[in-house]
Amino acid sequence: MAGETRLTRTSDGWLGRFTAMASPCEVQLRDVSRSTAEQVLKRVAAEAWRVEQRFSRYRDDNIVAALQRANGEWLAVDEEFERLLAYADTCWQLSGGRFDVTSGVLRRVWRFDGSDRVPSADQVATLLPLIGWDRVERRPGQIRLPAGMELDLGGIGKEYAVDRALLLAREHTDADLLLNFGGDLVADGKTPWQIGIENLQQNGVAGQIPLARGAVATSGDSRRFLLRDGKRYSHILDPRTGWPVQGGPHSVTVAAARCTEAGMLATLALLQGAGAEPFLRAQGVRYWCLWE
Amino acid sequence: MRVLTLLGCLLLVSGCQNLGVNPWEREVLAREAMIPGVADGLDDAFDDHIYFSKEGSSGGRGFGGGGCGCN
Amino acid sequence: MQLKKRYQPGPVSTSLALATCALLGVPAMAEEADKWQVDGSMLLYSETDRVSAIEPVIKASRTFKNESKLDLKLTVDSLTGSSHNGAAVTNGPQTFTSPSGNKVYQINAGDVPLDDSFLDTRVALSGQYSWLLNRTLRATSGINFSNEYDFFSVGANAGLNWDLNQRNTTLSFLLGLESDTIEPVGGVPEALSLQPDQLRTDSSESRTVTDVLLGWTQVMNRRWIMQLNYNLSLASGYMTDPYKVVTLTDGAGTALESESLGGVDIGIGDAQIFEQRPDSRTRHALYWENRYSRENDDVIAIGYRFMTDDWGINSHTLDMKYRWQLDRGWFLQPHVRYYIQSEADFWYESMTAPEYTTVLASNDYASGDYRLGKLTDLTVGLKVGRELPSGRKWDARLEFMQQSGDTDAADVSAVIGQVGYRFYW
Repeated sequence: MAGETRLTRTSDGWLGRFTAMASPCEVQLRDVSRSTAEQVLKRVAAEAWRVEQRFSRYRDDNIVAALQRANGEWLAVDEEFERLLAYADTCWQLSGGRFDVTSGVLRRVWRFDGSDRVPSADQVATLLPLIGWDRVERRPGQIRLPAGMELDLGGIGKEYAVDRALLLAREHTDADLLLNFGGDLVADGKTPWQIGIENLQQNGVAGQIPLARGAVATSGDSRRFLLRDGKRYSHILDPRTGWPVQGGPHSVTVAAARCTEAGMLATLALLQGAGAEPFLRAQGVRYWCLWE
Repeated sequence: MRVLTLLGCLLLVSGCQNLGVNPWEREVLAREAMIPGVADGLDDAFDDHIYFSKEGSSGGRGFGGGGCGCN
Repeated sequence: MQLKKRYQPGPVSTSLALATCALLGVPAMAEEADKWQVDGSMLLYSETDRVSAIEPVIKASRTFKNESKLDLKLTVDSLTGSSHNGAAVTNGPQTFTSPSGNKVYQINAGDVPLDDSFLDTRVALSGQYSWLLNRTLRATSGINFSNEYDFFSVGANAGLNWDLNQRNTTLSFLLGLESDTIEPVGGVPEALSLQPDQLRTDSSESRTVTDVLLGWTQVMNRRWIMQLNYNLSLASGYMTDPYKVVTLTDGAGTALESESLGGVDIGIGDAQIFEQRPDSRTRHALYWENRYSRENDDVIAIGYRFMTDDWGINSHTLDMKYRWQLDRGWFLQPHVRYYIQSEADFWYESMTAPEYTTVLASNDYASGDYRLGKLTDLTVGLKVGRELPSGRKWDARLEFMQQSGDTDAADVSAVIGQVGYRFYW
């Protein structure tokens, strides 16, 4: 899967752009030659497209699609997929079951388009037997999903791609780097980059923080919700009930060492609902919550 | 006799499947102060040398550091 | 006890950080992966009225991107002072020859006989390299050299570490081979001969030591790790100490005269015979260590070793440390070590003339070295140190050791001091 990349010069280096995972993606470098910048941009874009092709649920030619068609049979998985599954398992454990990669089936009844079309209790209840990471069976190199269940790695995919892309970019250069895939970003270098944080509002303008090394990821979307009878239904669904998490912020931004980590902490915080801020405080990470 | 001991050890080890922690629970064990042989690494090396030359015993913790003419 | 600092990671974020590293296939300590970790330290050892040593050590370690590791270590060890020469404490004066045989010295009645001309500088170098064979199997191998003016040692080792049960169990197998060459000053003395006769034979001897270590490290729970090692050591060759003697007495505490046994006369109480140890030694050691971390990050470490060999020596060692973790990287670690050993089958405090005749006739073994006799050691000490940001650290420890045994020769007190500093380069 390939696409277009564009490279432009900046005051202290280069800016590369491309589109992947339905987001605008950027690579910024300082103090490198044009050829190095091109090499890095191509490598980063290739990795983003590779991860998208392999793990997107919108495609029919990858392992995720094969799992859906497997209809309850054992399927062989490669090492990378196994590691993602192990990671998904860790997150499921750490969140007490709130983070569940099998919960994607809920989008069949929940469409967060700002309308008032909230599903009925029956509609949601029908889907619950198809949700549950504990129903997934794993053997070394293999996985078995009960028929009708599916895996959705959307909650991990983009941030994972960012971290992977950085590792690969580092094979080409030691220069200061900033990788930003639609708001999920990682910086690695000596001189700080100025990062705009959407949830850090100062007089209605997005605030900025300096970041030399580390990652920032945002989970949640203030624009996706349902409104009915004056009640707002957030798009963060609790897989244990099938219904939205109540009382939490609309989005959470977290800063951590790696993007995957930052993104997962943000997601786990949102899943805590009203307990999002105490959870984040207890983890000792920098965070910004958007309540409006 | 030796085969029995080896067998016993293997059974013991396989019986230890229930002991231990998940990989993400190793943060305490990852501290240097909790790793045998590394926690007080240099102290241990000095001590091993002192007591090797002052006593009649040696060994147990590992080896490889060179002998000396002291015992 | 600790104040919660800003951004001190919580349980979920810490676990997640580790899980993320596992997902990305990077080592958890990626920060220090590109640098050499250098540990410099110095040991100062001083016995009351006996040996003093100063031992600077420098060690450099590096972990590479493929998770292989290299350790290099240089040790310089400088000793001065006097040490027990194996003779007994007697009612009258005794006369000995110096190690080279060129000089003669006398000690007074009732004193512990110490050989004064004990000067030695040792240089040792070692290198150890370990690498991954696959995700659960790690191989290691190394070489080491040690050199002093009368002793040279060269050794090599190789081993395997096997991780099982999600790395909760590690089985280790290590094999070590060492070859030592001993070139005593003045030549190798003829075993069991009278010291005044100065009968010297070859100018050098050698021995080899083979070590096998079987280890089992087991994670018991989140806070407790245990290690059990079995060590078999087979030594063969020249094990005798060429500078040590056994005193021949009349059985009532007075040293005999060499000339009365047909030897050369060099002074009063000069019937000292060179010792002889067996030319093989098989040692079994079992070592058990436990480390437990408390909720407040304090660590309790308890180690026990049992050793037995075919020279008749059995020993028990108990080593306990409590690491008291304080704020901002400071720590205090009190330490207690208790050691007890039984005597070797051929250990003699002193020997009578008839015993000597029997031992000589059957070319049997005899040694008066207090380190092979009954021994009890107690060491008490305190270590203080600080872990600084960026992984650097320094520490200092002060310990007191008291040795005692069946004879006055075993009454040794020592002060142990050590300082160390770690940095990255």
